[in-house]
Amino acid sequence: MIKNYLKTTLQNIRKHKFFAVINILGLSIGIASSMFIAMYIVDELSYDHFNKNGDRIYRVVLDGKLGDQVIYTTNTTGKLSDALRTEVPAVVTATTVRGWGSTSMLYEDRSFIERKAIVADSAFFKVFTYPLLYGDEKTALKEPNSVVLTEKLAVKYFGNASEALGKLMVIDGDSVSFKVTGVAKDVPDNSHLKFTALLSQDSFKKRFDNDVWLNNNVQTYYLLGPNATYQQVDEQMEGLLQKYTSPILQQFMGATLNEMRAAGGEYRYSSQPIYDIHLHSIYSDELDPQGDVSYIYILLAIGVFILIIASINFMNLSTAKSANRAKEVGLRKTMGATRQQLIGQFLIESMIFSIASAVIALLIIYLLVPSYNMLTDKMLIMQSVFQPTIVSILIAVVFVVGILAGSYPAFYLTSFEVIDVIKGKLNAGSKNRAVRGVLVTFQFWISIVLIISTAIVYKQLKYAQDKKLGIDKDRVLYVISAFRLKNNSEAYKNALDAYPEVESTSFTTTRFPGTNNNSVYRSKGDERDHLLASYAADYNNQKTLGFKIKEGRFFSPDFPTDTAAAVVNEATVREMGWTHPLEETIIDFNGDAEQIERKVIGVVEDFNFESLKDEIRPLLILYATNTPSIAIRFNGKDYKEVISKAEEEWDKLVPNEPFEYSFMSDEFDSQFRSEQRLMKLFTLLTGLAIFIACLGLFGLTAFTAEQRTKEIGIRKALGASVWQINTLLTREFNKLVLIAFVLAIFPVYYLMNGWLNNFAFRISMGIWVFVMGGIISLIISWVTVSFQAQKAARANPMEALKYE
Amino acid sequence: MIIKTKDLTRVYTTDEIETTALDHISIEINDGEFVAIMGPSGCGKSTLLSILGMLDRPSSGDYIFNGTDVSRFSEKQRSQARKGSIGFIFQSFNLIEELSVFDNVELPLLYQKIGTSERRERVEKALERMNIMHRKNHFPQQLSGGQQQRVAIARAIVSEPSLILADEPTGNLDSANGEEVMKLLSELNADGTTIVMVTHSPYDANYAHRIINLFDGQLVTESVKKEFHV
Repeated sequence: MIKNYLKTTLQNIRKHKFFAVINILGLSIGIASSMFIAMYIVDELSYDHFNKNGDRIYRVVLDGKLGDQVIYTTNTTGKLSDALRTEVPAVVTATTVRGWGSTSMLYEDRSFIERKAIVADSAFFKVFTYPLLYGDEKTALKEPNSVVLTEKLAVKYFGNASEALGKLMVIDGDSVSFKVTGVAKDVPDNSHLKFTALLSQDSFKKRFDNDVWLNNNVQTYYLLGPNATYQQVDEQMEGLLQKYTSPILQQFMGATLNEMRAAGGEYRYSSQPIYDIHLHSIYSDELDPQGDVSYIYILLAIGVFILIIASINFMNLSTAKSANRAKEVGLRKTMGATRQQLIGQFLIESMIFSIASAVIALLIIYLLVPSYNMLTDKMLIMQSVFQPTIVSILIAVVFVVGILAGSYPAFYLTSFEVIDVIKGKLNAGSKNRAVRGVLVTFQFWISIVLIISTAIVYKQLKYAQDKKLGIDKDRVLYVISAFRLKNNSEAYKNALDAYPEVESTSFTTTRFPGTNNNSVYRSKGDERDHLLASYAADYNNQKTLGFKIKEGRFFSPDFPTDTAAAVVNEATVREMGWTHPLEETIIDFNGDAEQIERKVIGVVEDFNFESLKDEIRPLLILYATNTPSIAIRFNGKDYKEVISKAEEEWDKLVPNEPFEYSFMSDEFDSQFRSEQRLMKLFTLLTGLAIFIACLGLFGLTAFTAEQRTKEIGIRKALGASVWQINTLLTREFNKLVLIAFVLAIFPVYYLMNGWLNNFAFRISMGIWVFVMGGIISLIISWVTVSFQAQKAARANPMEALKYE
Repeated sequence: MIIKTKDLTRVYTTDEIETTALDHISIEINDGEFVAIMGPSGCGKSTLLSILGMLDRPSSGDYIFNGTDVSRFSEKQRSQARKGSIGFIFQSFNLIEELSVFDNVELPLLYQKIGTSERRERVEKALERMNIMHRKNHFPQQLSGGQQQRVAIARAIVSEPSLILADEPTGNLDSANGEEVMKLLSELNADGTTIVMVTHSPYDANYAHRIINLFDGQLVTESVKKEFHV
C-alpha cells in the first residue's frame, strides 16, 4: 500500500511540477535559513561553555558612582586575586588577567606584531580550561619570563608546534628573553577571552608590585568552591574593600567607603558568571568586543518568522492544490479505500514533501557554510547542525509542517459523500479562501516589518558613520607603539614633518575613539569628586585632529607653564558647574604621587572622542610628549604614499622594530563593524523572507487563476483586456498587502524606536521609510502576482468555457 | 461579407504530440446570415468558433473580419476588435456566479466604458427583450437552465454586436427551453444579426440558412437549407 502512496505522490509531483518545485524550494530555503540562524544562536549561547568548571567561574566587576557619574567596569585591582585566594574561603583559586595590547615578538629572523597577547598569573590554567598540547599547566606560567603560545602562533614562529617548547623569544624589544613553556590548543572561537600568547605575570613583577587597591586596571576571575555561592564571595569582597580600599579612599578623598556611600556614592565589587559575559554584560572595558543578547532575540524572531512564512506557503499551496483531488478521493473510496487509509495517504504524502525539503535544506547548508562564515565572521562547521538542539528543531519543523499541511486534505476531503465528490458538486478549494487570505496577510506583515526595520537600521548606521564628530577623522594616520622608537621619537616626528604631504604631527597617549584613562578630579575649592576621561598630547594635537577652541587657547610652547595646565571640553565645564572656566583650577590626584593643581587654559568644543552610542563625556586634555602614539594629519588622497614614508623613516631609525599603524577613520568605523555585519545578515534574511513569501504568492496566484479560469474566460469573451484580467487577480492580493502594511506600522515604530534609543545620536524615523516600505512590498507582490495573472489572461478561454 | 477565412489552420503542440485541430478551412459568411457548424466531437468546431471569435489565433491562414485581416492581431488588438462587435453564447451558459443577473449582463458594457445611465438603459432593454427582467436581482444559481440561457443571450446582445457566436446553445436545456432559445436566436437573426452556431442537433441546425460540416478538422460539406439574400 505504501508503494502505491509513493507512486501517487511521485505522480503528483510529476504532474504538478510547478507546485512541487515551489513548495519544496520555499520550505527548504526557509528551513536552511532558520537552521543557519539556529547555528549562529547556538554558537553565541555556547560561549565559554568549553570550560570544565564553567558554571563555577566568575569574573569580578566594579560598580561605582562618583558624583553624578556611574561606572560599570570589568576592571578591578591587581591586588584582588591574591586576596581572594588567601582570604576568601568560598574561592578555590583566583587569577589576574591583563590585556597587553600590541606586542612585538621575535624569534631569529621572524618578527611580528601580536595583538592578542595577555599577561596572566600561574593560577590561569586552574581557573580556565585551555588545554596545553606541550608543556605543563602547573608550571607554565610560574616562572618569570615564560610565555605560552597557541598552536597557531607556535607554528608561525617555529614552523612546528612541537619544536617551540624551551625556545627563547624576544618580546617587546626587551633585552630579556622569554622562554616558551607551553603550547596551548588554539583558543576556541566561542571564548570571550581570546589570546594568542600568555606572558607570565612575574615577568613584570616590579611593575605590578606597585598595584594599589584603588587602581583598577586588570581583570579578575575566580573559581568558586563546589558548595559555595557567589553571594558569599560578594559579601567577603565587601570585607576586603572595607579592609584595604576604605583607608586609601579616606587618605585621598577624605571619606571612608561608608561615608562615601552615605553621600550617595558607590564602590562595590560583585561577581559575574562567566557564561553571562558574552551576551549579558553591561560592563565596559572588555578585552574583546562581546555580543549583545538583543541581537540574538532579533535573529531568533527573524528565524521563526522565516520558518512561519515557509510553512504557511507549504500549507497554503498543499491545501489549495489538494482541493483538486476530491475526485481522486471519491474514486479510491468507491474502490474500497477506508477513510483511515486515505488519511494515511495524504499525511504520508505531505510528510514526503517536508522530509524532501529538509534534505535539500541540509544540502543548501552544506554548500553555503563557508559563505555564511564569511558573512557572520564565525567559524561554524556543518557538523554543528547535528547537535541535539538543532536536530530536534529540524525534526519538529518537518513533522509539524508536514502534518499541518497534510491534515486539511486528509481530514476534510475524505469526509465527503462519495457520490457528491464524483458528481463534482463540491468545490472545496474556495472554502479556504478566507483562511488563505489571513495567512498571506500574515506573511506580508512579516515581510513588511522586516523591510522597514532593515531600512531604518541602514539609515541609522549610515547616519552614525557620516556624523560630524567635531574632529576630522579622515586623513589621520596613527603610528602605534611609538615607544619602540626609544630616544628617536622626536627625530622621527621631525622627519615626518619635513614631508610636504604631512600637514602636522602630534604625540598622543590615546587613539580615538576612546581614551584609556578615567580618573577622579576636583575643581579647586569644591569637595565633590568628578570622573573625567583624559588623555595627554603635545602642542600640535588640536591642529592635527581638527577640533575647535571655544574659549582660551590650546597648549603652546610660548607658555612654559602649559606642561602642567589643563584643557577641557564643554561637557567638563557643565559637569563642574563653572561659569568662568578660564579662572578655574583642576585638582589632579595623580595616583600615589603628590597631587597637582592644573590651571584651565582653554575650553574646546565638544567632539565625539568615543562611540556614537555614548553621550559626549567630560574630557580633560593634559600636556605630554614622547607618548606611545603619533597622529599624522596628511593632505591629499594618497594614503599609501604617507604609509610608505612613515615606514621608511621608521626603518631608518629602528630597523629591527616592527612598524605598526592604523587610520582614525577605520577605528571609528570599526565601532560599527558588528552592526554592519548584522546589517548584512538582516538584509540577506529579509531578502530571503520576501523571496519565500513571493514564491508562495506566485504559487497561490497560479492556483487562484486556475480556479477562476472560467470566470477569466467569460470576462475575456465579453471584452476584458489582459490588463483588466490582471487587475482582477492582483486586486485581491494588493488588498491583503495593504492590510498587512497598515498592521505593520505600529509594531515597527515601537520596535525600532526602542533600538534607536540605544544611540545617543540617532535619526528620527520619518514617514518616508514607512511609505517606501509599503510601496516596495506592493510592487513586489504586484509583480509576482502579475507574472502569473498575465499567463492566465493570455490563455485561450474556450476550453474552460466549453465544459463545466 | 462579415467573415472570410482562407486556409485557416490550427495546430496544438503538447509535449511530443502535434494535433491538427483545423486543417485549411476556407469559408465565407455574409452579413445577416445564420450558419450552423456541425460535426462529431473533436472535429474542430469549437476551435473554429474560438478563432472566429478572436479568442484564439490561427497557426496559419487568413481570417478577414469585416474587411480587416485579424489573423496576425496581437492579444490587445484582438481584444479591441472583439469588444462590442461579437457576442458569445455557450452551452453551459457561463454566467459569473458571484454576480447578479443585472451585473452579468452589464459586464460587456463595463469593458466598453459606457456611462452608467446608458448601461442601465441597455441592460434593461436586453433583459426585457429576453423576458427575464423580473429576475434581474437574482443570482444565476437561483434560475432554471432556460432562464440562465436567456440571461446569457441578453448578455450577448447587450452590446448590440453584429455577430453572435453560439456554442451548442441548447445542449444543456430540455426541448421546450431549447425551442425557445432557438426562436430567440432566429428573431435576432431576422433583425439583422449574423449568427454562427455550433450544434450537434440536426433539429436546431434547421433554423440556419446554411450548414457547414467538419470532420477531423477539415471542411467536408456545405449545404444550403434556406434561401438567403444579401
